[in-house]
Amino acid sequence: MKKFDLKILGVGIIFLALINLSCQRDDICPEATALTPLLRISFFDIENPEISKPPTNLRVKAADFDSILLNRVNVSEIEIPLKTDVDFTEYEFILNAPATTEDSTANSNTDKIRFTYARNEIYINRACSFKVNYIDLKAFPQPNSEDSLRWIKNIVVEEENIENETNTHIFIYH
Amino acid sequence: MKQTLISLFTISIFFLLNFWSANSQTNLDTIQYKEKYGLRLGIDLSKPLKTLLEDDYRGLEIIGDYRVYKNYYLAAEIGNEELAITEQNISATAKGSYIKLGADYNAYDNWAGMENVIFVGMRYAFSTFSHTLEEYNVSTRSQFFPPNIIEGPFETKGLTASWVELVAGLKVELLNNIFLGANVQLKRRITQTTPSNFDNLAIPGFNRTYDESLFGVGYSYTISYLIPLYKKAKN
Repeated sequence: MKKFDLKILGVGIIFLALINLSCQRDDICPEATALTPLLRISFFDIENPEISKPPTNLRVKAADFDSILLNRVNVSEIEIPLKTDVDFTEYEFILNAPATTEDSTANSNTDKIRFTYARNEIYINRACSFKVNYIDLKAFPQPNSEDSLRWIKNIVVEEENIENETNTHIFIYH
Repeated sequence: MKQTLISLFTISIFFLLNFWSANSQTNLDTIQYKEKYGLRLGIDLSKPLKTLLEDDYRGLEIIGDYRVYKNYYLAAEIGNEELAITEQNISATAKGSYIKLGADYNAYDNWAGMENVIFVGMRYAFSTFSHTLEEYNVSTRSQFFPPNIIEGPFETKGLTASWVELVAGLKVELLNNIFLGANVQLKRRITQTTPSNFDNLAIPGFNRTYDESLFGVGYSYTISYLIPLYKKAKN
């Protein structure tokens, strides 16, 4: 009788050990976790700096490749990613972007801005890995045409350190 | 999942204790029978097996216990492990040695002439190890730029950790003085040093860690040999 009980118990313990072996918590990075923050830009009227002013049909694309991040949006606030592998990111901000490449009636105006920063890698957890916070953010309008043709009149860095997406980091006046 | 494990573990301990108290009420014979006392040495079979089967694991553990008094045993494990942890966005390796010291209590009342063990025990464990960040992916919500995967290895040496373990298991005498056993361990971390701006994803002897918890789990399948030193009457 005792010998029999011992066997049952043995099976039970081996079973427990197998559960141990096969079940590990699946580690998924929760949606709510703050990852690498995006750069938040707000657009204001140069004539009336308190009033936000959405640029018309704004297209935002990376300067060094063809993908378009935002196309023909009319919003006064945008969020754009910065590169995490180098200390700068260049974007083209295209005002009055044409709907098609053939459309020449749109009076489009391209301004290029180079954002520079230092990167600070921060460990989050095993599921979310590392994020990058940016420090010492600067924005430089890139020369592409005459200054008088620029639609962006002024750029103000409001937050030098990009650690979250709750604050606007850059004000653009146009 | 972890909570389920902990509750299963606790239930199994209650089961063991019940089992023991139920058996202790029966007194089957009055013949004096001498029991073996001695040093039992062996290895954890699961570690060499995992070393063979899994590419990213290497480990060996030597186990031992010494019967001090009736159902009480001094117990120790000493081992060396290399554990790889691969998550979706990060991979790391922990490499090092550990020692566990403690005692076991045999809760099983054997039939005359049998020397099986169903035990619960406690250990204090200490590990020294290195932790290597092999590769990670910088986490972004935006998929606009290609993923930034950073390859190491970035090794941090001289890390330590300590923890306590609750162990429950059995050792069955298959042949004369040769025991086959299995046990499960619930571990609770007391101290650890971590790499700067990183965490220990695994600790040798502790197994993988959990981000929000100090607990860990483990199991062993053991084979051991009892070196009988002397015999003593059961009562």
